[in-house]
Amino acid sequence: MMYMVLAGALFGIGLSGLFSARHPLRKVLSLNVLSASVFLLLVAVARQSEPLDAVPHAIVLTGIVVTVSTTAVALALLVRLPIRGRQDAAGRPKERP
Amino acid sequence: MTLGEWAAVALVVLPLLAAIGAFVVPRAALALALVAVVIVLAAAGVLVFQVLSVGPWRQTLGGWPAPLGIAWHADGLSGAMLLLTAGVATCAGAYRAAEPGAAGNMLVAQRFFWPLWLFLVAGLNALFLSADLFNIYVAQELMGLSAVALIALAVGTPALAAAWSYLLATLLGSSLYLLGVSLLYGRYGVLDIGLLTDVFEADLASVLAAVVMTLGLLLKAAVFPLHFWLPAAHGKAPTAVSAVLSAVVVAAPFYLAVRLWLGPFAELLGQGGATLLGLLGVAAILWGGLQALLQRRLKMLIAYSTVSQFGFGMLVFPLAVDADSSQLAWTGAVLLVLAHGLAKAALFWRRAACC
Repeated sequence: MMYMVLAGALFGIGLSGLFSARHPLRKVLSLNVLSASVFLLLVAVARQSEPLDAVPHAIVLTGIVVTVSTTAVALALLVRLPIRGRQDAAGRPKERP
Repeated sequence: MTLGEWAAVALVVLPLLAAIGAFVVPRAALALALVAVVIVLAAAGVLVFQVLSVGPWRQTLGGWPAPLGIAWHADGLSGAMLLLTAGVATCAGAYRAAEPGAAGNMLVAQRFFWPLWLFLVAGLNALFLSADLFNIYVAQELMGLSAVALIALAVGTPALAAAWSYLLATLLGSSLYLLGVSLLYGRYGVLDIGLLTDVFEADLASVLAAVVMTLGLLLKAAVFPLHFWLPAAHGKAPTAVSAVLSAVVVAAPFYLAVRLWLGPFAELLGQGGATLLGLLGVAAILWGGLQALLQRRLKMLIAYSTVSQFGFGMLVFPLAVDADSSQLAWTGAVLLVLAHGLAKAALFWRRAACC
């Protein structure tokens, strides 16, 4: 149960990060947090059944592969996005990309 | 294996293989792609004929039965969508091949267009065939990523920015969808849509799952007020791509929403779900139509009209609540999506030809 609450909290963090972050890289990271929270939920679900349920594990493994691919595409796109203005230390661009 | 099963396998496997082939041997890409889509078109035709003559058809992949294995399912709705996909994809391929100047300056675009386009077709076909919620998630990602990359192939910064916002929207939509899938799996322990329909109850976890999945799908289908990414993405993409995006890529999540709401979530339709979805549809019709009228570029006008048209599609939910008119509402929605797909694709090509 605790892990499910944690997964919910992580999902919230990912969502708020996605909408509030200005820098594209932070948005990509927020999306990764988002999918990690779903994976946590799935593993917690698998833990609940007796004997252990293997299907959520298979889903999480596939999901990780999908997330790696989506992150790769996002990063490939990100490096081509022109980001105007220099960035400060916190990674916030001075102008919107 | 029967002819229908072969056709279904060809629908997914052939574009995948051709995509890899086109990527490895760029010189043969055009021929590979065109041969692949023509066979896909034929396979979709065979499948639709099978559905029309024998009725809905179901196949368990690898012989594993449903709770553990993945099933493919074809009925009138998915058959119509498969045929639409194959038809539009074939025309888009022919358009792209005949496009003047396509061979010259955009070498990168040439090299990656055909593999990505074939991956898009494979993802769409897998989505329309699958009856497994998680399998559908993977197909959606395949479709979404290839669509994003295809938009990014257009030259210029606006296209990149459009691809970026589409990428964020589609990934957020997928995450929401996957959250819903895991909630449903935690509650019922099944992923098959048919099995889920039998056991679905309207309790807290299920309603939450329905809400997040619908949110994710509406975001991907660009239903008002979640349509912000669509006009730029469709307006800035290469023409052959715009047509496929408007005609089928937006229709895919809408198809899935219809599948879910008239399948497992049907119980929730009567409890306010239908009214809410219908109201969103009405808002989309008005807002999309108004915005379309205010546009100065034809391509953006066409893109906004997609938002408006899918608003009409959303009206299927309130209409389907009443058991008497349910069948009629279904048919109407399928007809609308088909007609919209063909008309929109044709509009995009015609625009490119005249301006």
